[in-house]
Amino acid sequence: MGDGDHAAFEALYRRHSPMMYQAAFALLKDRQACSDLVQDIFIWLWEKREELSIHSVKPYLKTAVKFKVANQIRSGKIRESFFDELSRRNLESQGTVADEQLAVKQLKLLIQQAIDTLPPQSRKIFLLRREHNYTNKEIAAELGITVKAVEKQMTLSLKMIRKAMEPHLLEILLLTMTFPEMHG
Amino acid sequence: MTKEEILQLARKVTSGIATEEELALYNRIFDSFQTAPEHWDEELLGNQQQVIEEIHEGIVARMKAASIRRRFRLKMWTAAAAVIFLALVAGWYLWPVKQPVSNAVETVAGKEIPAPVSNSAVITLADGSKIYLDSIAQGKALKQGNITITGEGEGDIQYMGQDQQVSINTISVPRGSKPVSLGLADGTRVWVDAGSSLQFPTAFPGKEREVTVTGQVYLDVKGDPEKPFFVRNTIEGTRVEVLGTAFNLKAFSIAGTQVTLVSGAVNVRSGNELKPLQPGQQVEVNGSGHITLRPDINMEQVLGWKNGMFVFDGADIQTIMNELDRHYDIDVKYEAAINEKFVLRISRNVPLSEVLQGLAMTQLVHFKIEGRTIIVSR
Repeated sequence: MGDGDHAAFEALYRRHSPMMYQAAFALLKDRQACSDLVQDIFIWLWEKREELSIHSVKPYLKTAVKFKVANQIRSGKIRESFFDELSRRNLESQGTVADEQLAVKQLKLLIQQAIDTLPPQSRKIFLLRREHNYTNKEIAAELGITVKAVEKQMTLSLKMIRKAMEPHLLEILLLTMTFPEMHG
Repeated sequence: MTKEEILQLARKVTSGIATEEELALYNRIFDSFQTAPEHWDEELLGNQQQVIEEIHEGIVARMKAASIRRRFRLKMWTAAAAVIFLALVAGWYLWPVKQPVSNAVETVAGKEIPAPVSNSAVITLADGSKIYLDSIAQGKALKQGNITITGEGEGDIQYMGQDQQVSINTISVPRGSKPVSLGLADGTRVWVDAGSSLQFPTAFPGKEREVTVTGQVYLDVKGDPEKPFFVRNTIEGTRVEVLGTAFNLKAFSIAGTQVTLVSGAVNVRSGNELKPLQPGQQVEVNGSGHITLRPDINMEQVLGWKNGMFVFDGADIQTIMNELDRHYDIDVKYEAAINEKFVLRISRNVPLSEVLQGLAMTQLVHFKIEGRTIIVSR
């Protein structure tokens, strides 16, 4: 482990954690949840430091916060008043079109990173579902495998991913994917 | 937006199936909650310094826990090796035994020879003065020209800074020490095995970088196309040209020189011969300077010393005893020629007798321990 890594990590933490904490707090309004969230992101960053190449750190970390917060919302771990506030919100774009495009691009980048960690076949299956809305049957036909194999592979790789990514930021991805046909 | 709608949206975002429009919508929701940029509301959020320190403590604790988990995994793995080993021992007992296994390693005089517990090294500076590794207190810096030398913890030394003035330093790691890791001023990292030494410049202002090795080192060279890196070897006169890379160089006079490439690319030159190496390959330079390529080598065996393991994958007894000699600082006497090859993998953290026991278990060799002298016989 390089000591340079440690120093860089410290600097990164000191510089960006207040921004991340504040951004998460604005929605969650829960100090403990925000502390955990910032911790999770930095732990994940540390563990993945050799695999990640991040060009602009600040937007990246902010995007990570967005995903984490979305996961809190999804799993219902958010105060009830959030929903009331949201119902009264004006959801017109705040910033410029360019700002919004950039933010969306960052979100997509993080999603892509998670998809890239999938084994090739699972990735193919995932993309067929997402890009083309294929059913398991259609995926099976496209890849020349049985429906059972599609289901089995999905279950297996989801397990794998769950195990590999559990403590990490992108656990949110794919763990939460639902495959209606699979349970039917 | 209703509760149902936002839950649905959050689910899509987190599962990677949201469309661009949906991502943009979520982003707007997120932004709509944000207050004045970068303003820390102390009443709401608490004291900034305190909050950030608390989270930091949590991160450090989790990083530590993770590194302990990793170490534990390693231990578990060693345990698995022991299980296999025990299974083998059990197997032996099922055969008619010529002599009791416990007699295979005899201790005549003296105490158990333990594994090295610390890293020791001596750095000789350009003016001939010597620094001992233990005296470079952790984190306490030492100046040599514009170059700072710090001890970065157990068995870890770092040279830092830039200087037009080059001094040549030598680090020697004695037999019976754990390997020592050294960071050079150019960012290259070198692991120096016991019974080995490295001569290196304190700074690299010139067009080339060059170090000289006696014994065994592992180099992780910082790539720099402007300044090629060369490794010389005092014993065989071999020169390795490094093109940004990690490799192991083993050059004890007894063994000839072996260069094993882990990643990147190197050229090995000996006299007029030049051999480019691919990762996973090894070359051996013999006494007369001839280079032989070995395309398939057991990398685990080569790097065992750096990873805290003895890995012998069909090694002769001399090779094994030479390794044990460096690690335990012993003297070896042979009373019989042993021609068989041995397979053994065991942690370097165990006392010598355990390693010998493992070898003696084959009943092809017998050891007597007299103080620090080991007598090898049939």
